[in-house]
Amino acid sequence: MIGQAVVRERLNQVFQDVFDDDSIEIFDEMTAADLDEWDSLSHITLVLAVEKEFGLRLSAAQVGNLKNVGEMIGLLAQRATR
Amino acid sequence: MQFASFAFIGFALAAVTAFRLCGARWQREAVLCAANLVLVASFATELRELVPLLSFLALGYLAVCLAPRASSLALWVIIVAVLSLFIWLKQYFALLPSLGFAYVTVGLSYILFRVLHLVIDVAQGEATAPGPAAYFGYTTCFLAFVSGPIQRYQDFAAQLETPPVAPTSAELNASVLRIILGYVFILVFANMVQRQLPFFQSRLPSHFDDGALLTATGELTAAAFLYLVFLYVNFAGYMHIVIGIGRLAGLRLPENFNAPFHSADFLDFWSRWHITLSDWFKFYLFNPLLRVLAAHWGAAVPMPYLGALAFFVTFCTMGLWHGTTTIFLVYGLFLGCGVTVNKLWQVELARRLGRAGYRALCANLWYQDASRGAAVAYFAIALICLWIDPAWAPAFVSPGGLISLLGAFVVLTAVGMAAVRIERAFITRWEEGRVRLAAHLGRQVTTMSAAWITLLVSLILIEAILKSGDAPEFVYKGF
Repeated sequence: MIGQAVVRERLNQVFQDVFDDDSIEIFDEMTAADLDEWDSLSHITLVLAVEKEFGLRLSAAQVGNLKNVGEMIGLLAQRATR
Repeated sequence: MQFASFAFIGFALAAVTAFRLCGARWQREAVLCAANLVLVASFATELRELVPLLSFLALGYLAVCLAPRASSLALWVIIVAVLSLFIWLKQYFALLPSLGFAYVTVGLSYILFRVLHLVIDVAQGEATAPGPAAYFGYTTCFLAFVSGPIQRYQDFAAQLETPPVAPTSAELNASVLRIILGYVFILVFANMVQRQLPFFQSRLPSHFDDGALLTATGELTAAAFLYLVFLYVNFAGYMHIVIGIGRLAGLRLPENFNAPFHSADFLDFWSRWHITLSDWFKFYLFNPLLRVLAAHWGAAVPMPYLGALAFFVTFCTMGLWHGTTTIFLVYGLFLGCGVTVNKLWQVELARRLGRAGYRALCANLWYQDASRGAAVAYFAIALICLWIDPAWAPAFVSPGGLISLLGAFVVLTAVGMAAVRIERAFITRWEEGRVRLAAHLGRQVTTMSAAWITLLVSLILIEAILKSGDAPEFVYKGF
C-alpha cells in the first residue's frame, strides 16, 4: 500500500502529462466537468497512463465508475503495485 | 400484462406491500422472484412459450457462476455463447433456424445487458456471483423487466440487504404523483401525439414523387418532430411509473433521462437520453474497445481518430440492438456518423482555433443554441428509421427525399434554436413560476391522505383508459 500523499503527487504528474498542461493541480472533488480536455477519449488515455504509472489494471466498472480524483487516489493507494 | 390496466396496478400494489412487509433479505428476494414470475408469465399463454426465455436465464446464470474462475479465453467463450443464444432467440438473421412456435422475447434484450454486466463484473472481481434467487430477482425485476432501466447489480443488491425505510408522507406523495404523471404521459400525451402522426407520415412518399418538396419537407419536419415527442413521452412516462412504484417499495431505480432536450451537442445527448443503456455501452463496449485501440495504435494514430472509430462501432451496435432489419443498420450508421462527425468537428475546431479560441466559440450563445438545436434535430431525423415503412426507403434516398430530409433537419434545428432563445428569455420568470407552483402543489398534496391520492389515481386511470381505448405500447418494449 502506498501513502495517499505520494499517490496524489504522482497522479498529478500523470494528469499534467496526459492533458499537456503543467498548471493542473488535482483536488479530491475534481471531475471531468472541471477540466475541458477531460472527455471520454482522454479518459481512456488517462486510464492507460495511470495503469502504466501505478502498475495495475483497472476493471471495466472502475474505468466507467470513477467519479472523482479523490476516489481514484483511494483506489490507487490500495491497489498500486509500484 | 399491460401497464395501463387495473390488473397491473393491483399486481404492483400487492408486490409493493408484500415487499415492504418482509423483514429478512430472503423474504424480500422471495417476494421479488414471485412478482417477477407473475409478470413474466403474464406474457405467455402456455408454459412452452416461456421455455426459451427461462433457458436464456439459465445459461446466463451458468455463465455468471463460471465467470470467477474463467481465464480470459474462457470468459470470451462464455460471452460469445450468451450472445449467440440471444441472437438466435431474437432471430437476428433470416437464415437462422427457428423454434417453430411463438415464444416470449419481451425483456430479453434487457436481460442480456444485465447478464453480460454481471459476467464481466464478477470475472473482474467487481461483484460477487449472486445466488439463484438474487440473480432471478435482479435480471427479471418486475419494475424493469419490460423496458429497463438497466440497473447495476451492485446498486440493486445493496438495496435488498436492509429492509426498506418507511417513506415520509412527502416521499409517498412524490412517488404517487410520479406514477400519476407517468400515466398521464402515456395515456394522454403519447396517445394524443400518436394519433396525429399518420396524417403527416402517410402522404410523404407520394409528395417526394410529385416534386411537391415544400409540402414534403413540412410533413417530414412535423412527423419527425411528433415522433420524437411521442417516443420521449412514451418512454419517460414508463420511467415515471416504474421509478414511482419502485420508490413505493423502497427500491431506487436509476433515471434514464436527464433533460435530453438541453443537450449541448449530439455527444452530450447520449449522456441524457436512455442513460442506463448509454452507460452500459460506455462501460462494456466503448471504453474497452478504445482502450485496446489506444494500447495498440495509440502511438501511430492520434487519439481523436481512434475515438471516432470507437464511437462509430459503439453506436452502430446500439442501432442494431433496436432491431434486426436493414433499416436498423441504417439507424445505427446514422447515429454512428452523428457522434463521429460531432467528435471530429470538436477536434478540428479546437486545432484550428486553439484552446482559447475554441473556448470562446463555445461560450458564444448563437453557437451554443445552434449546437443544441442541431443535436435534437439530428436525433429526430435519425428516428425516422424507427417509423418509416421500409417500402418507402427508395423514395427517401431519391433527390426529392434527400432534399426534404436536409430541409427538415434545417427547419428542426431552427425550431430548436428558437425554443432555446425563448426559454432563455423567460427562464427567470419560468423558474420563479415553477418554484411557486411546486410549493403550492406540495402544500395541497401533503394535506391529502394516501387514500385520497389512490382514489384520484383510480379516477384518472378509469377516465384515461375509457377515453383512449387503446393505450400505446411502450416502444422500447419491442427492442
